[in-house]
Amino acid sequence: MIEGRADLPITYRILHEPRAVFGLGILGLMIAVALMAPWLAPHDPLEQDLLASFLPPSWQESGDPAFLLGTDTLGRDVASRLIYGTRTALIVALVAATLAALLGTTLGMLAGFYGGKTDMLISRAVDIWMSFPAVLLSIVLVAVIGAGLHAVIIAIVIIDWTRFCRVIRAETMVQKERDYVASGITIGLTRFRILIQEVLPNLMPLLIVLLTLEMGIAIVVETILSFVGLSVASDTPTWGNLIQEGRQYIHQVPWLLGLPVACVVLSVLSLNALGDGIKEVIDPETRQ
Amino acid sequence: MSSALVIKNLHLTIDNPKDAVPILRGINLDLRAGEIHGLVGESGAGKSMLGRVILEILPPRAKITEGSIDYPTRPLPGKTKGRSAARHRPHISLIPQDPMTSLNPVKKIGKQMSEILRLNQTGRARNMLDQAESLLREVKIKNPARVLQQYPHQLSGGMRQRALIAMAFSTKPQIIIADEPTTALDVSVQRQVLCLIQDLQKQHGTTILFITHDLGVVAKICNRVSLMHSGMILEQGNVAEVFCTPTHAYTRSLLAAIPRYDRPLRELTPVAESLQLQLQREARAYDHQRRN
Amino acid sequence: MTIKEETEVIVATGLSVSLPNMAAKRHFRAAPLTPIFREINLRASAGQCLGIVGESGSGKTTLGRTLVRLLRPTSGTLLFQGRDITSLSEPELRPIRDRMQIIFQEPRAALNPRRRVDDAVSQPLLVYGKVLNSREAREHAADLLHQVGLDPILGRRYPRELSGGQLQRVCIARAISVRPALIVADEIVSGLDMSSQAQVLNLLDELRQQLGLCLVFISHDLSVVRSICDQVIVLLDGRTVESGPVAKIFSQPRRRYTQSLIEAVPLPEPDRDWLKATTDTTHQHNRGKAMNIQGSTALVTGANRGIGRELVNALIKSGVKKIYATARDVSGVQDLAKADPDRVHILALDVTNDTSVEQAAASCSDVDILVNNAGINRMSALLAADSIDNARAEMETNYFGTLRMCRAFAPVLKQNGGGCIVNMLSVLSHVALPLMGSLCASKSAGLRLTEGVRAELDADNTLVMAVMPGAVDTDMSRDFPPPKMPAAEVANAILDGITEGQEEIYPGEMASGLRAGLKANPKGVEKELAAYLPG
Repeated sequence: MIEGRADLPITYRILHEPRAVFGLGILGLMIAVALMAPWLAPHDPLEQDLLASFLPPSWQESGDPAFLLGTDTLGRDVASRLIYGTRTALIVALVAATLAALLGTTLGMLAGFYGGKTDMLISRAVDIWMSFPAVLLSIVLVAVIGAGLHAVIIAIVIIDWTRFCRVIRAETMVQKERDYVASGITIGLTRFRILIQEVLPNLMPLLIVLLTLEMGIAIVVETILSFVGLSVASDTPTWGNLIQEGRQYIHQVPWLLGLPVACVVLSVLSLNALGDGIKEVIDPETRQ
Repeated sequence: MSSALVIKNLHLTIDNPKDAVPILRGINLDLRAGEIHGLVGESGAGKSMLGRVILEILPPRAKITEGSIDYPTRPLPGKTKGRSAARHRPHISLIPQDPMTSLNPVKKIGKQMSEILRLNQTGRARNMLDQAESLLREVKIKNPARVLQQYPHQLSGGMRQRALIAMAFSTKPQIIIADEPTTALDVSVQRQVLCLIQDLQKQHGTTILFITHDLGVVAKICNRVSLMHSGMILEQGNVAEVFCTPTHAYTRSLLAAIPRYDRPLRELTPVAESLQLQLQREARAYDHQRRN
Repeated sequence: MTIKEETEVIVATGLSVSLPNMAAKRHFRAAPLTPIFREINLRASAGQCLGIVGESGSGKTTLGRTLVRLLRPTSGTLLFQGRDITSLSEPELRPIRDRMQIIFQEPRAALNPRRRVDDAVSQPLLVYGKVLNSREAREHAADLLHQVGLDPILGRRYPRELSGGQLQRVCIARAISVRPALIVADEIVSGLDMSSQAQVLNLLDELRQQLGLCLVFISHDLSVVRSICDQVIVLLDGRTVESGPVAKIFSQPRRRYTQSLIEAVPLPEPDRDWLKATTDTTHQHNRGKAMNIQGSTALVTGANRGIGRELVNALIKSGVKKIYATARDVSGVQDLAKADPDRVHILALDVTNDTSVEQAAASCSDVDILVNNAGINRMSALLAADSIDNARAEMETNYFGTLRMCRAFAPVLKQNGGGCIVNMLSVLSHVALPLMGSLCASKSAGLRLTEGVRAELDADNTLVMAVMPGAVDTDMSRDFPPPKMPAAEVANAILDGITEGQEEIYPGEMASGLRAGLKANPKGVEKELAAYLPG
C-alpha cells in the first residue's frame, strides 16, 4: 500500500537496486571478457619472452605499452593471462554452482516435501556430509579423481550440494504448510505436480540468491585448488595459478600477486552484491 | 468536560519518490478526558495512522504537513512551541492488536513486565516482579505467579492480551491508544477483554482512543465515536446518536452491511461500490482544492 | 429414502481425527496422537448451508479439512454423495476432487503468489480436462471472475496486487470453476472489511441457490452463521455441543455454552449494560455440557411431594418448555398440571416397574433433562429384624429405579443431542450411619451408579449430576431435628448446577460442611451425625 514500488515489474526493480546493478555489471563484464578472450587478449597467454620478464604495468616508468599490466617471470603478458583466467573462473562458477544447485535443490525439495523416511535419509546424509572438513575433502577428492577442471567442478558439486539441500529443504517445508498447496490437492493435482508447478516457483527467489552466492564460493574454491596445484595444469592461466606464481615474487613485483587477487575479490564481491540485491527486491513480495 | 487531546486540522502525507500521498486529510478530533472514543473505519481509512501520530511512531516517510496536536490537561510551564511540546505531553501507551508479535518471544512475561516498570520508576528487580504480579492479578489472570514465569507462546491469545493490557496500564498513562485490541480474539474472550478494559479505564480514569473496524464493539464500549474513510472523519458524535440517527450516508450504509444474528441475510445490504468510489472522489477533490 | 440419499451430499458419522502432537514428541519416537475432534455427526444436502461454529481450538478448521479429505479420519465414516470416502487414497480421491472444494480463511496464502489470478481460477479446469488450451481457460476465467463480481481485467494481475475481498472472490471463482457439489468455506469472511464481508456473503448465498451447492460454512462469528446457514453445529474442544436448525439454536439454545456464544456477539446497538453481564466461563470444566433450562423439556420422578414438587415449580419458573411430572400415584401432582396445563404433563410412572419405565421412555421422547428424584427411606438399621426386606425395597427404588430410568432414557437423550441426568442422592452417600445403614448403602450405590453412567455417556455430551443435600425439610425427614434446608432451595441449587454443568453438588451449608468434614475427619463426622439423628 505504502510500498508503491512493489507494483512495478521485477526487472525494473532489479535495475533500480544499486547492488544488483553493480553485481550484474561486473558479471556481464566477466562473461564478455571470457567469451571474447581470444580477441581481447593482446598476447597469447602462454607466449614467453624471457627478455621482457618482470615488466611493470605500462603506466609505470619502465613499463612497455605492449604489455598493459606488465609481464611475469617468464615474460608472459599478465593482462592476457588474467583475461584467460576469467574464462576458467567463470566456467567453474557457472557449471559447478548450477550442478550443485540442481543436485542440492532436487534432494532438498524431495526431503522437505515428502518428509518421513525420504527426509530422514537425505537429512542424515547432509549431516554426515557436512561433518567432513570441506577443504580437506576437496583436496582428497581431486587427488582421487586426478587434477583438472572437471575434477575441480566435481569436487565443488560434491561438497556444496548440501548448502542448497539444507536451505531448500527448510523453505520447502515452510511452503508446504501454506494453503496454496492444500488448495492444489483439492483441485486434483498430484503431489509431484504440486511440488513442481506450485512450490518450485516459490523457491526460485531463494534459489537465485543461493546460486549467486555459490558462484562466488566456486570461484574462491577454484582459486584455492589452483593455488595448491590441484586444478588445471600449472601452465594454464587461472587466477589461482597467477596468485601462486606471484606469491614467490611478492617483494619484488607486488602487482603479480595483487592483480589476480583483485580479480577474485571483485568477482566474489559482485556476485554477493548481486545475490543481496536480488534478495532485497524479491523478499518483500514473497514474505509480505 | 475537559479535553485530554485536541487534534486540529491534521494533514499527513507519505512521501513517495514521485509524489506525496495524502493519508490523513484535515482530521479534527477532541478526546475528552476519561472517555472511550471509538475510531472506526475500513482498512486503509487511516485510523491506525492517526493512532501512530498520537503515539509519535510514524513510519519514516510519513510527514505531518499541517495541523496541531495539543494536550490541554497538561498546561505547559511557559509558552513554548515545537519540540518541547512533545516533551511535555502526557504519558500515552498502546494496547496493540496482535499480542503475539507485540511480546518478545524469547523473554518470560515477568521479565518483560518488570522491564517496562523499571523504565518508569526506580526500585529493585524483586520489587518489580511483585508489582508485575499484582498487575496481572488486576487483569484477572488466575495464577499470576506462574504466568510471570512463562513465555508468550505458552499463553492463550486472551491471556496474552490481558498481559499486554496490564503493561499498558502499568505506567499509569493518561491516554491509551487501543489499536484493534480484540480483533484476534474469539467472541467470548473478546467480551471479557472489553469488560476488563472498561473496568480498568473507569478505575484509573484513563482516556482511551479505541481503534476498531467492528461497530458492534464500539456500540458496547465507547462513549463517542468517529467514523473515518479515506483519511477523513465523516461522522462524529455520541455513540447513541450516531448509531440511532446516523447522518452520513456511509455510516448508514455500514450499519446496514453488518450481519446480525437477529436478522436474516436478505436484509444485508453491502456498502455500494458507488458510495465507496464517491467517497474516494470526494477525497481527491479535497486534495485538489487544497492544492489550489 | 432413496431420494434423500441422493440429495445428501456429505454425511459424517462418528467422525474423529487425531493428529501427532509435535510439542510432546521425543527423539526417535513417533509423536503421540492428540484428538482434535471426536465423534462428530453431520449431514448436509444439496442447496443447504451447514454452519460449524466454535472458538479457536475447537477443531472446526481441522473438521473442515477432513470433510474434503485433506486429512484422513482416525475413525468414523464419511460419505460423499453416497460414496464412502473415509479411507480412499489420494489417487482414488483425485477423480472426485473436482466435486468437493474448500475455500480457506486467508486468501493470500491460498493462492500461489507466483501465479496470475486468471491462471489460478482456470487451473482446476485444465487439470480436469474441462478446457483444452490456455486461451479457452482464460476465457472461462474471465466468465468466472465476472460471475463473482470482479472485473475480468484483474485476471492478469498477481494476487499481491488485489485486496483481501477481491482475493476471496478469486478463491470462490476458483472453487466454483469445476462445478462442485460441496464447498467448505473456512472462516472466509473473518479477514475482510465490513463492506466486503457483506458482499462475499451475498455472493456465496446467491451461488448456493443458483448452483444448488452444498455449503459447509465454518466460522466463529455467530452473526454471520445466523445470516447464511440453515443448520448449525456448535463445537467445543472437538466435541459437538449441540446441533440443529439455525433458527431454533439461536432462538432457543439448549446449551449454556451456545447461549454464551450468542450473547457475546456485540450487536451494533448502544448498550452500556452489555459488558456488565459478562461472566468468565472459559475455565469452567464442563462448559460444553451445561444446559440452558429455558426451552428445554424435563422429566421429574417422584414429583408429587418434597424436592420433586419444588423442582417442578422451579423448572416452570425458569422457563422450561415442557415438563413431565411423574409419580407412582398421580393424584398428588394433579394440582401442578392444573396450574399450568400447557407445560405440565402428568404421567404415572413406577420406577420399580420395567414396563412402566419403558413406556415412559417411549412416550416422552423429547426429554432433555431427566431428574431421578424418586426415592424411599425405610429408616432401617442393617441388622434389624426386617432389614432384608427394607434394604430390598430401598435398593429397588433408589438404585434399580435410577438405573432403569438411566438405561431407558439414555437413548432418548442421545437422540436429542445429549442432555442432562440428575440423580437425587444424599450426603449420606459418603457415610455409614447406624439406624439408616440400609439407606446409606443404597445412596452410596447410587453415587457409584451416577459416576459409571457419567463415564458411559461422556461421548454423548450428557451431563450426569449427583445431587447430595443434607437434611431437607420434607415429609421424608419429618422426624429430623433442625436445621433443615427448604426443598425449594435444593431445587434452585439443582437448576444452578444444571446451568453451570456441575457434576456433583452439595446444596446447603450442612451438606457442604459435611462434605468438607468427611474429607478431613470421617470418623468424627459420623459420630456427630449419629448423635444428630433421631432415635
